[in-house]
Amino acid sequence: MKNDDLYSAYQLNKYTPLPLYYQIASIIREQILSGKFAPGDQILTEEKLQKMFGVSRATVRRAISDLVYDGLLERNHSRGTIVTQPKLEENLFTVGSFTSTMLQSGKNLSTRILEFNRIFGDASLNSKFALETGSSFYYFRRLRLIDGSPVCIEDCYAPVKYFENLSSGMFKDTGMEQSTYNLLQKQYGITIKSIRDIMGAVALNAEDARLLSSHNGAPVLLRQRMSYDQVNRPVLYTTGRYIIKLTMNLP
Amino acid sequence: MNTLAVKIDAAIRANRFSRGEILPAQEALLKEFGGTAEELKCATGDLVYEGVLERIPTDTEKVRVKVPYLWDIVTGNHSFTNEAKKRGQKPGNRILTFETRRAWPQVMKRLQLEAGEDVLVMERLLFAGERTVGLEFSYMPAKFFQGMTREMFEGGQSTFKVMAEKGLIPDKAVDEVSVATLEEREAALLGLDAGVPVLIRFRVTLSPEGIPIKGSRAIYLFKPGYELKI
Repeated sequence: MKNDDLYSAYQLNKYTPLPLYYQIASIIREQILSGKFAPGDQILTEEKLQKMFGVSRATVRRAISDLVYDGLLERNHSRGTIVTQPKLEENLFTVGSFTSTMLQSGKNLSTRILEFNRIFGDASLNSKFALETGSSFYYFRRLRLIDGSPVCIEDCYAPVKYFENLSSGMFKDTGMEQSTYNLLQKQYGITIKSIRDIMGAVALNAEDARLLSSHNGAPVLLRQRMSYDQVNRPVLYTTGRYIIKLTMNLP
Repeated sequence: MNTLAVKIDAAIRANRFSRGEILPAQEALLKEFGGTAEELKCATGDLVYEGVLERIPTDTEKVRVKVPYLWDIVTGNHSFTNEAKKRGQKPGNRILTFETRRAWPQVMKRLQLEAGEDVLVMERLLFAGERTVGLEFSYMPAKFFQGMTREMFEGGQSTFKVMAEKGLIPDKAVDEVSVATLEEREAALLGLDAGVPVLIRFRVTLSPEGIPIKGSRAIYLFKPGYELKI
């Protein structure tokens, strides 16, 4: 069915208390949820919607904004406004690793190590781990994939003094053995008992956009996580860019 | 962060670049701080992820010094009213929308409502002192909020205080966080640029019996922190 035809049956009611933008958003929402639009489909341009419904540009924009914030539409630089691809969801109800959460929900998760180095910590990193100047860290960058599609990039830092001889070869690319938490527990007897996450939103740079099969400047979830062991030492710091939603149950 | 990132960060802290200032082009930066083009690319990427710089929405190859939010990181239950009070700032709000609407599918799902049930919808711009700290769009089952008026929520009043007067006590919450780029209307309300990536926090607040009593979709100008223990 042509895009234009989808709206021909709808007329706005200018006499109800319901705002016009809300009515337009409801119409588009219904089209998406009933499957008339598939993920990735373009909706009509703002100009066309404006003409079709006989409303102002601001009214159409407000309708679109609501649907963008509700996660049903997204702005794409090259393609206009499109129906969002459903995002994977990670539930942080328990302090599971990303690996265990995904595997437990039946996802086909795999990991690719992009980089593994030993570095000297700068003041910021030393301070995060409450370690002295001159401390060394392992730095590793990982790409996580679900069914072969990239879903996040993680930059990880772990103090050398706690994890002697850590190497990239210790990480496997599938199964539970791709989990850093699992590795720390099995190889070093360190169990992660608590985490502190700081959430933000950032625009991807060109390189990360390429790795995540996204576009330069795409907004992604940024999660900065410090993981603490059984004696409350900070032992692993991860900065991740995620193309997923996160849910948390709060006490 | 690589050495170049540390140098640029130090320069920003020393006010070599002011808040909101776009950083010079690559050639000028390399001349001033040294390093290679590759190192500079990594450095700016790191500083974006650390929240020191942000990309220009209309030209993501350019970066500028990020203007810090009034509140950087907020932990706990992220209650804007409580946070403002804790910091000795006066909480305030401006109600933009206050009306009753038929619940739409996402709201029906979040609040466990049946088709045909109504919600009380309220959109508020949130302030701490004179500064904007967020934009919150709330929806509450109308059946629990009979007789509620706009005036009850005005003037920085906590929604939970108003709800408590109706015997609705918040006990737990479920948060969902995702991201979007800021739309023009919201950008103008928040004093930011359209196209800037923002965190959207969806929250459903539950009573002690596990009944959803409020849902909200919020853009807050702070980073929510979560601490979780096994």
